[in-house]
Amino acid sequence: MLEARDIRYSHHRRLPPVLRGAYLSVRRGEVVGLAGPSGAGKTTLGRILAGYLEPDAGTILVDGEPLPRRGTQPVQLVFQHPEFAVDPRWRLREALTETGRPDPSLLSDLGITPALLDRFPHEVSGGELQRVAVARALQTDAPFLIADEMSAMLDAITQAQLWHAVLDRVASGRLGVVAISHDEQLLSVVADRLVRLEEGRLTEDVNAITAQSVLGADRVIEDSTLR
Amino acid sequence: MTLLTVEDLSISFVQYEAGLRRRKLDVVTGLDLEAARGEVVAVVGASGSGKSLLAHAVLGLLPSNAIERGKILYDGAELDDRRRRELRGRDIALVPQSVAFLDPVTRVGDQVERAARLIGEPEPARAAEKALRRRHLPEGVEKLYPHQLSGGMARRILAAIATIGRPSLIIADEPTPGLHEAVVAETLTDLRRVADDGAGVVLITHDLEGALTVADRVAVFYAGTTVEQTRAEAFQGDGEALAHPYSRALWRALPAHGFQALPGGQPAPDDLPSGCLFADRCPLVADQCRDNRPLPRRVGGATVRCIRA
Amino acid sequence: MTVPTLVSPGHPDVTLHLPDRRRRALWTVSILLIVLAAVVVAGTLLADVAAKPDLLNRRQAPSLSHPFGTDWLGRDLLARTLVGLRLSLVVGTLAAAVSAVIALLLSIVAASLGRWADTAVGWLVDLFLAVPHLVLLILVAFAFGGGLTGVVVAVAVTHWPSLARLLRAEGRRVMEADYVHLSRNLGKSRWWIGRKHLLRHLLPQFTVGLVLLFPHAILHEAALSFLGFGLPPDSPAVGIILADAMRELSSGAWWLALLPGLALLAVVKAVDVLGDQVRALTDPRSVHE
Repeated sequence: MLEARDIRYSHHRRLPPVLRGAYLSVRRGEVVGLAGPSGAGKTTLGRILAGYLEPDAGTILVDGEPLPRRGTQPVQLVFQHPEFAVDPRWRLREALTETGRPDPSLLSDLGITPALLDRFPHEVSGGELQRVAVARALQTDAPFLIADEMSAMLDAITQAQLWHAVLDRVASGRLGVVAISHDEQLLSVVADRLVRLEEGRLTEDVNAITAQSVLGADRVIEDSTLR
Repeated sequence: MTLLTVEDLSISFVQYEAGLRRRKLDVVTGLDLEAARGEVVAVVGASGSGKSLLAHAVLGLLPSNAIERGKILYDGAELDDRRRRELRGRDIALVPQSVAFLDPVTRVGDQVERAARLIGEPEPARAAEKALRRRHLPEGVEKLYPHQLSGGMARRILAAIATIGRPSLIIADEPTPGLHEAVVAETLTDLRRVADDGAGVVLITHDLEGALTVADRVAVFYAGTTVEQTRAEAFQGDGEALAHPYSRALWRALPAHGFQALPGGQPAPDDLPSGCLFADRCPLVADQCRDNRPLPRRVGGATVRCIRA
Repeated sequence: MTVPTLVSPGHPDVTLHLPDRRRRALWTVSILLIVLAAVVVAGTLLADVAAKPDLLNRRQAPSLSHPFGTDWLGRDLLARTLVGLRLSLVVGTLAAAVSAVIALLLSIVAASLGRWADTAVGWLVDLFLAVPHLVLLILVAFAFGGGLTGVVVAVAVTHWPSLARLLRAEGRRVMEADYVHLSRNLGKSRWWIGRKHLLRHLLPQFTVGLVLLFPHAILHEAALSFLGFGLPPDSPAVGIILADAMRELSSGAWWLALLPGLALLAVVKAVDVLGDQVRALTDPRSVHE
């Protein structure tokens, strides 16, 4: 289980804190949606969960242990803008193999062709870059993934492809996901439950309509207006 | 009569690979588009499908290593290089993708006024003020700096700058990239208003749902080709009214309409298949599909490039 | 019912008609390298001719047998100039290479060994840049006893700061990028990150910086020799030739200063253009034109 306990953070000591005691827990096999007004601090929380930022106070625990100082982090992060997540001087193959030998079935699920891997980041589209970023994160076999607006810049089909691959892993019990998104329609089909970040704290939205894994039986979305 | 007609536009680039080898990228191969006054036409497609190049082409802003073919007609007459330069900013305007286009150290009022001066408005200050009021921006916004504006307001400033000269054609290039719902709604509603005031608006975006809230017609774009041009109303239900398999796949991929994925990806521009570009992923593919590229033809109320529609 | 279809687009191969900037750049670089190599070879072969005094033919104006004329000891000036240019090129190349390597090493240290290393390197760069360039050159040459060693060390040790500043900035940018963060989060060692991220970004700028340092190095060697802090007065360094020429100005022997000076200018310009073409070929921003 991934836990965030009493996380407090402000970007600068003279600025008001964006996180004032946030609590969150995510289990393997579930997707927790994280919604909230833009600029509220969702990305900051995502980065803290993945170990990119140190909180001013509070702890992050994975299976009861704090995040390791070295080695592969158990919480991986996929950014909104994949252009910044891949070294522009690397071919995509290098970015992908950074985390190990690629699994052919994962690559085909994500629509990654060998020809694509020969290219440099500036030669491919944002959607193609994001496919490689997601593959790279999933390959680490890290138990937790923070998807920070992972598909906000993508077209609907690529979005569905990427999320299906992620949700496959979730359904098999190997992965727990925090899905940060402003798209509540998306969260209603990928998230098992929804939390909202408002004024620095997280509250569970018990009235939100969420869905079980996409690979289950029918998903009936009755009410797409969430509030 | 349509304001803008783009027929079979193709744009290619020559690029260096390793060493002295060069390769040709056919980024756009069969772009068709029609836009009329008072209408919002959304050009919807995946990132990297070449949509933004349409804006650059119409405005005459393609880089020097671009090779362009096909026809672009504006107001009935051919839009050659010279005419593109003349009309640019005055009769045909661009709303750019990023608010970084605004100068962060100048008040927005001054920036709008400067734009008015640049296109030759005889009374720049007045033209700027009218442009801001037409966008329903509050009094006093002129004195603010870009960082003081909300996301939606900043985008409306971009629209104000574009509409100073009362252009007949506005091209908005990805005006709402990954933005929050409220900002998307604000920006798109504003563009709708621009069309209602009489201009033709071409809305280039990957956000189909957002586009459908304001568009009259939609051109679906795949791998550099317009696969379908149809009325916005066709996007409803299960997408049965859509003629091209890709359009239907796009609709059904939306979270609210099935969240269905399609395997594979777009073909690379330097290695396009000889037949239909969608053949590898199409559920309706037949042998003839791989022989030649389909020409556009009318099916129902839409124009489609598909022999199986 | 047959549906009209479009034949696959077979646009004729237009690539052959477009100007091939890379090919032209490569030609320019090759030609210039050959010219510079020729200067070096000529300089080697003419060493004896350059040293031979001919007191009967002193201070002769340029002629067919002596294209640059002769100097105050009757030595053929063209031969002397070529030998001097060879010296300048060799010293310049050596010194520039050492300088560039110092800059690269320091910037790698600054980027990968933490805050303190970065601050220390920055401080060192500022220190060197604060001292007037020529003064520093002279001081170092003097401290190393003048002569060839003194010149090489002086030029090498004073040309690295501006390149180091550039590389340090680039290194900082790379180390703060998300993709490096990601590599760290994947457990990669500092060594690995330095090799696969940092070096990849620094090497192209290093190469360009190195080539652009040559003209400076060459000119500064000439300056040092001119001022008398470089090579011994009988060696045909271009600076010394020019210093001698200064003394002879009153005799009206204009060729003693003008022709070697122009030759030096031409060589420096050639190296400059060479550097520019190399930059055009390797600069990631213009690499596709």
